Amino acid sequence: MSLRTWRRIAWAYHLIFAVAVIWPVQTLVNRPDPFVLGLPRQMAWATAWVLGSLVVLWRLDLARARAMRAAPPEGDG
Amino acid sequence: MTDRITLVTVVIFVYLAVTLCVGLAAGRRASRSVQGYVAGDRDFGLLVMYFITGATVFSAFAFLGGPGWAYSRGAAAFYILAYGVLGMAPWYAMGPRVAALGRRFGFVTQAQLLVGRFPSRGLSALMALLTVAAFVPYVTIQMRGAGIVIEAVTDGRIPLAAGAAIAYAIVLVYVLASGVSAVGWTNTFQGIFMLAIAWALGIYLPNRLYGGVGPMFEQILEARPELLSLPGLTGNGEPWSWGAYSTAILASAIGVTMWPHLFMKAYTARSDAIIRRTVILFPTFQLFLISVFLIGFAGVLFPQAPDQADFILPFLILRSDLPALVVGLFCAGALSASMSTGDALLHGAASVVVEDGVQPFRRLSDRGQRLLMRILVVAVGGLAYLFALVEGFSLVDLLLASYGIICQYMPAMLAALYWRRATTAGVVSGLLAGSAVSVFFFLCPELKPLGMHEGILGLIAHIPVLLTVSLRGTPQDDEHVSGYLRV
Repeated sequence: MSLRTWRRIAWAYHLIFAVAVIWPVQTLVNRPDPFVLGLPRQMAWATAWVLGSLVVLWRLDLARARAMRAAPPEGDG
Repeated sequence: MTDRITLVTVVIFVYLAVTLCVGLAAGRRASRSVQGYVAGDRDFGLLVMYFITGATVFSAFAFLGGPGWAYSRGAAAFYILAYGVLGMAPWYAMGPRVAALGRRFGFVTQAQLLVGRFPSRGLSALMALLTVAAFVPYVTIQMRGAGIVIEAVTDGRIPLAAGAAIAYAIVLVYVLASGVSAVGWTNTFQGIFMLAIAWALGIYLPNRLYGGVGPMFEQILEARPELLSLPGLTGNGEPWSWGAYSTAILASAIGVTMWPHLFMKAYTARSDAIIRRTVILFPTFQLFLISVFLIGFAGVLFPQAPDQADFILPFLILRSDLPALVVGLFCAGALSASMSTGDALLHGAASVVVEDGVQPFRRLSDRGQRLLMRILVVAVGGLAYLFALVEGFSLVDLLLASYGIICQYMPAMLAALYWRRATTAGVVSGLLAGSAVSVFFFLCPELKPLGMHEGILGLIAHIPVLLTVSLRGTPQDDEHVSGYLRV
């Protein structure tokens, strides 16, 4: 995928992340059990979004590095 | 018991001495200019940037307030887990742009960037005032945190006031001597220490007290189910509102993005790639909150209770069967959290006052600026110390109040970096309107609709004012604007 696509994915991911951890979406994930790796489900939910951010930003950076190798820099982010 | 307390105290003082040495040694590398004191000669690498970013965001608030909230307010604490990454992710795009503008125009503070795009000495002074107003409560949190730890581990022999004074006297010495270089290298030392301690304790306590993390939550669910249901509880034990929980996440995320000391640290990075990698790695720092919450939840069914929820971490450690040496190291980890944020804030507040509050009105020599910054480090530290002695508020509540003010920088900063049509009048009007609304609802919390955070309510007033006034005014000179938008 291109750098532009990964930029869009990154923005979309963090927007959905913001919506997923507040009212009303978070009310859909508001039972502590079944526990996930011993953690209440709401805590595991937030943790999963945090980890997902790491993956998405890392992939964006890889795409950026590829694009920079292929063409001269044309701006950040 | 006395021998144990003495040994713990000795460990803490050894730790403080090592921190002081690291801070003083760091300053020997930097130049003696304002750029060296404020921006570390723009030469920080990935390791230091990673810890300076993590440690300036994770503080006594996370290390003591986080467990305090999990212990007393249950799932309400999860908001802290959610907002950090949301606040830091925009820095992947914004950080290199901010750093590039810093290199192009010689900026060392956030307000300089804003005032560069929107020339106004009044705006510069307003930013300086608002930044200090937000930093003082945040430094207060750190000082109280340090005092809490030292008072708890010495069994009250060194009271909170004296403990905070000792820890921050050391911070003052290395910040005065070495500026941001000391902040960077002490943050690295303290960050490594803090992460190791938090994870060790977060795994140890649930295992020791309940036989594991899963069994701990099962027992809490059985005995106190209200603690494991969002949005958790208020400080009084009443159910918290969804409006307050949700807007606390949003306001805090915006606040993280806009913290003036993060802008100042972006100027310190050696390259844009380092800023991006710092942002990518930030979620690994965020995960340390899990261990912090586990510590707090471990206290829920503990037979005894501390006087204040924020004391739960040292309270549990001192009642564990851990050797005194290990207890001392754990408490030093909590001190790390406090001092690593406090030093950056003291340095940041002093730099902002001089660069944004004084320089636009009276030009000082390089030497004069450095001298005034040092005086202000002591003055801001003294003011925060006085607030730290006041009882009756939680660490997290103080932090939320700071975020209300900092949130108001967001529309102005986005306009500076991305919106061609924004004008100085629009930005100043928006900032004044948003800050006024935010302060009003902070002072009259009973009037907040749906319990929403005052920072978000401020933004609801701020953004339309900025847009309307800007669009009705004369556009800025095209060449001037292009200097900021084409980076």
